[in-house]
Amino acid sequence: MITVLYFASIREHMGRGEDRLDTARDLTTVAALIRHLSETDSSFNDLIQSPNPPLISVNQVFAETSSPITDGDEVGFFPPMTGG
Amino acid sequence: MISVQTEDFNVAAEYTALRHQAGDAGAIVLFTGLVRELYGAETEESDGSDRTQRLFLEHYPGMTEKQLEAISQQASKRWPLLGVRILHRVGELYPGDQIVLVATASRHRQAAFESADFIMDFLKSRAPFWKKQTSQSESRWIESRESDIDALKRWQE
Repeated sequence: MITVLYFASIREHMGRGEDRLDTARDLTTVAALIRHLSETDSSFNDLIQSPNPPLISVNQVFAETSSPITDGDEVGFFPPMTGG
Repeated sequence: MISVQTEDFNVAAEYTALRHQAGDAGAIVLFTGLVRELYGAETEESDGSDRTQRLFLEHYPGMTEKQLEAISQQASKRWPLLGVRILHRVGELYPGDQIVLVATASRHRQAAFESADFIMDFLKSRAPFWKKQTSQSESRWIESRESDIDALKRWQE
């Protein structure tokens, strides 16, 4: 199981804060996860195609599309940060 | 020490705690960030409809604390610090409210000043917080500023 979390404007765009995906789909990299979500969810596809694609984390550490993922991982998608 | 909380904080109490923790510090720098009324077009001609009525601070629980801890450790490697305190509020905030506190203690003032500045620069662009502003006319997520990203570059050696 991979837990996918959405935050802030991306959470609102997706209409939910979380997805749980079966790892039997051979999701071994962030890129594969993005491909899967884009194919199955038009909202996510719109997000990825936008001029400002989301930032990514794996297990609460900044990640790239090439980053590996494995069963039990938590992947976050979020906009640029605006704290402080 | 790192805290992420909805409650307000007391600057005097934070200062006293850091002062005790920091032992023989010769300097403590303490920064507080406040909610402003004007976030977007900061022009004199504003009709007031874009003034902040409230701010909602969302974050990524878990990752936020990890990132703040990492930023604090980076600062401690770079400067000889005797204490670091980072406190960030989340949830509903209003104009004039305190949002963030960064305090650093060192033997000399330069390290305390510079490290507090460094921590704030990294916190703004590397800690997963997001602000949503509600004004009279609309409710919108505040966009990140290029100047905040650029601010990180001056710390690259």
